[in-house]
Amino acid sequence: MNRSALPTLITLMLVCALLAVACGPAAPSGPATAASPTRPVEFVISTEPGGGSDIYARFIQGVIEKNKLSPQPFLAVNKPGGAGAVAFQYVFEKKGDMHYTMITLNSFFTTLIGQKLPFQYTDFTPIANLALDPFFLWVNEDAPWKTAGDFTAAAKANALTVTGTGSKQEDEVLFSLIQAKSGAKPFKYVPQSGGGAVAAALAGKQADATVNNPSEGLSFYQASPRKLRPICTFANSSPTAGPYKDLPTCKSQGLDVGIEYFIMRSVMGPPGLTPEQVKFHVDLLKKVYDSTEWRDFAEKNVLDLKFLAGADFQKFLDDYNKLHLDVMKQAGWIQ
Amino acid sequence: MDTFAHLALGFQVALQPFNLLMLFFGVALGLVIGVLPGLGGTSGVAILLPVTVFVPPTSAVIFLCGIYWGALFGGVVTTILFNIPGEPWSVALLFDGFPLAKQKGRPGLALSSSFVASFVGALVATVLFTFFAVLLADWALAFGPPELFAVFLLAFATLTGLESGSPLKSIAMIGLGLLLASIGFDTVTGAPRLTFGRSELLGGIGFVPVTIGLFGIGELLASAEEQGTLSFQGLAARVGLTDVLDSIKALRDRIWLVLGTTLVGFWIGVLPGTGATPASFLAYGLARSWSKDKEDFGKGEISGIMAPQSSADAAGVGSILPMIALGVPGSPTAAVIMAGLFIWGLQPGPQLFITNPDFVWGLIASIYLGQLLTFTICILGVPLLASIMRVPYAIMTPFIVVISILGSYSLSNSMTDVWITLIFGLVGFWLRKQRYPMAPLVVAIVLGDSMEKVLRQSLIMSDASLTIFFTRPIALVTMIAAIGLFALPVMQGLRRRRLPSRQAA
Repeated sequence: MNRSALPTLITLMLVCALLAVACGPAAPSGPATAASPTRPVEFVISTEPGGGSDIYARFIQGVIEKNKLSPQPFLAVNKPGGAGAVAFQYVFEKKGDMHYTMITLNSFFTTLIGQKLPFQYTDFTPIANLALDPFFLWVNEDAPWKTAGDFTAAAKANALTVTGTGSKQEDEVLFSLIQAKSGAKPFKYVPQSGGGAVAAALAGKQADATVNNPSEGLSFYQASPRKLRPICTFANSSPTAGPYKDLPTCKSQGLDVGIEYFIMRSVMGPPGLTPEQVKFHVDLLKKVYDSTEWRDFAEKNVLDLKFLAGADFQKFLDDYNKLHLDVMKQAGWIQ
Repeated sequence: MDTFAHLALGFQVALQPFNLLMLFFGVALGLVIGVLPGLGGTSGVAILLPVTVFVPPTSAVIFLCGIYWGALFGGVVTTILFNIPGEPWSVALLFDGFPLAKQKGRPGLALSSSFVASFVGALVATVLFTFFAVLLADWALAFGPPELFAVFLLAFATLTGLESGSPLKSIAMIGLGLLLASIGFDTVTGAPRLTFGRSELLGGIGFVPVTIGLFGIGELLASAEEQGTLSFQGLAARVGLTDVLDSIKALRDRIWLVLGTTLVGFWIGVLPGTGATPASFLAYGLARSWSKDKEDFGKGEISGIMAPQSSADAAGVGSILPMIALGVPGSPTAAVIMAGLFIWGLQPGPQLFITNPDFVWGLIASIYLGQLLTFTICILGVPLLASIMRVPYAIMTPFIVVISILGSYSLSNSMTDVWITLIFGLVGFWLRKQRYPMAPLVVAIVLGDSMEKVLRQSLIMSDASLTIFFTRPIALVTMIAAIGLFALPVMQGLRRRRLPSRQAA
C-alpha cells in the first residue's frame, strides 16, 4: 500500500499550509542548478511502513522538510516485498534519474547475493552512509546467562532457539557467525517479520536469544520489571553514553565473531547518476547528518554516527559485500 | 481511582483547541482515505507522518490516530455500496453488507448498522484500554506462534462452510486461495515461490486487488449479463432517520453478540502482528457459528455486518495498546504511528506512562473524542451516502470501474495490481456462473499467509513436532475449540443425511 496522487497532494497542501503558518510567507527556494531535482524526489523504502528503514526514511524526510534543505520535497514511498528485491528492481529501472533514491540496509547485500536478480550491488550509485546500527546479544531477563561465556556454554550443551528479522538476512548471518566461531550447536532460527516482533518474542519467552539493535530492545529493557537483558555488543567498543553505557563487548567476553558487524543505514541511487547529481544528494544528506535533530535521534537510538561518501563509502560497500558473500557461502546458503 | 485523575488530565490535553482541531483534521482525512478503496489507513498515516514534525508530539499522535479512526469507519462505505472493499478490514463486510444494500434495498440500514457497531466496538475497547493497558499488553506476550496458529485455525474453522452448497467446491476454493497466498517471497526459507522469474510477483499477490476484482468487477459483469435487472433500481425508498433507528433496534437485539465480537476483536488487536483484518474475519465466523439461522448469512444478515465491524474497530483501538505499552505494534497502522513516536523522540514502553503522562493520557482521551466525532459525522452522512444508490445503473457502472481500477493502482502505484484486479474480475464472474463459493477463497487468501508463517515458526521451535500445539495451555484450549468447530458441521451433515433417508423408509 503506498502513495497515490491524492494523498501526495493533500500532504503537499498541508505542508505548505503548515510552513506558511510556521515560517511566514517566505517560500523555500534553493539554487536552481542543472544537477538539482526539478520535481519531488521519491525516497524508496524496501520495508513495510513502521519497519526499521521506514523510521529512518521518514525521519530524514521530516528533517529535510523542517529545515527546508531541498528545493524539492522528498516523498517516502514503501516498496516492500522480496526482502528488498521489489524496491531494488524499482530503483534499478530509474537509470540516470536523480528523482529517485532509496534507503538501504544489509538486505542490499544479502538479497542481491542470495537471489537471482538481473542486477548486482555495483549497478547502483552509492550516495552516502548516515549511521551504523550496532547489534547486541539479548536474552530474557529471567535467563540464567549473564555473560557471553555463559551463553556460548549453554549453546554448546543444547540447541537453543533464537529469533531474528527475516530469513538469511543480517540477524541470521550474525547467528551463523556466532555458531561458527563459538562451536555452538546449530541454532533453531525462527524468522520474524520485523525487529519489534523479535523483541516481543524474546520478552514472551518464545526464544532464548536475539541479536536486536539497541533501539529495538529499548522499551523492554527499560520496562519495570525489566524484561530483556543485553549481554554484550558486537561493536568493538562499549557505548560511552546513553541507556547502555558501559555494556561490555562480546569480544571481551570471549565471543569473537571476527568482525565488527553493524546494520548500515545508507542511501543509494539508481544506476548512472552523474557526479553533479550525486553531489547534490551527498551535500543534502550531509546537512541532514549535521542537523541537531539527527544527532538527537542517533543518541536516543544508540546509533554509531558515521558519515561515509565517495571513495570511503565505496570501500565500505565492497568490504561488506565480501563479508556477506563469505558468510553466506560458509553457511551453505549459496554455492 | 488514579486512572480517573490521569484521564481527567488527558481530557484537559485533548480538549485544547489546537488538539481538537488536529483531531478533526485527522478524522476528516481518515474518512476520505477510508472511503477511497486501495488507499489504506496505513499508507494514509505513513504519508502524513513526516508532516507531524511541525507540531508537538501529542497533537501529532492525536492527528495520526484520528486518521486511523476515520479510516476504520470509512472503509465500509464503498464495501456496502459498490461491493469494493475500501480497506483490508472491510473485506469481511462484503459477505453481508452489499447483499443488504442491494438485494434487500437497505443501503442506509447497512451503513448505519456498521457505524453503530463500529462505535460500540471502539468505545468498549477504549474503556478496556484506559484501565488495563499495561496488564493486557503483558499478557499478549505469552502468545507465541503456536497460540497464534491456533487462533487462525479457529478463524478458519468458523469460516469454512461459508455459503452452503457443494463442500467439494468450497475445498477447491480454499485450495486456490492458499495457492495464491503462497506466491512471492517465502519469509521462512527466503526463497521465491511461484514467481516464474518475474520480479513483480516477488512481493506476492495482495488480497485487496484480488477482492476488488472478485467482488467489485465480478459483480458488475454478472449484473451486466443480467442486463441490470438485479441492479440498483428502486432502492433507497426510505432514506433518513428510520435507518438509524432501525440499526439501533437491531443492535439492541444483538448486543451480546456485538459485545462478544468486540472483546474478541480487541484481544486479537492487542496480540502483536495481527490487527483489524483477521479480527473482522474471526468475528464474522463466530457470529455465524453462534447464530441459529446460518442460512441467513451471506444474504444481508445484520449480524454479519455488526460482528466484523465492531471487531475491526475494537482491534484498531487494541492494536495501539501494545505499541504504547510495550513498543510492539499490534497492526501495520500502529507500526507506522510507532515510527512517529521515534521521530518525535519518544520511547514507547511502560515508562512512557510515567515520563510523558500528558502524551499517553492525552492520546487515550482523544480516542474517546475521536470515536464520538467520527461516529457523529458518519451517522449524519448516512442519508447522503445511501442516496448514491439511487443514481441510475448506467451512470454508476463506469464510475465503479474507475474507482476499482484507481483503488488497486493506488495500493502500490503499480499496474501489476490493476492487472490482478481485472483478471480476478473475470475469474470472479466465471466462478459466480459456475456457482463456486467466493468466501472460502477470500478467507484463504487473507489468512493463508499469516497462518503458514506461524505454523512454520512453531514447527521450527518444536523440531517439527505437532505436540507443540497441545502442550501449551492456551494453544491447547484454542485448538480443541477449533477442532470441535471443524467437526461440528461434518457431524451435523451426517445426521441430516441420515434423517431424510429414515423418513423415506
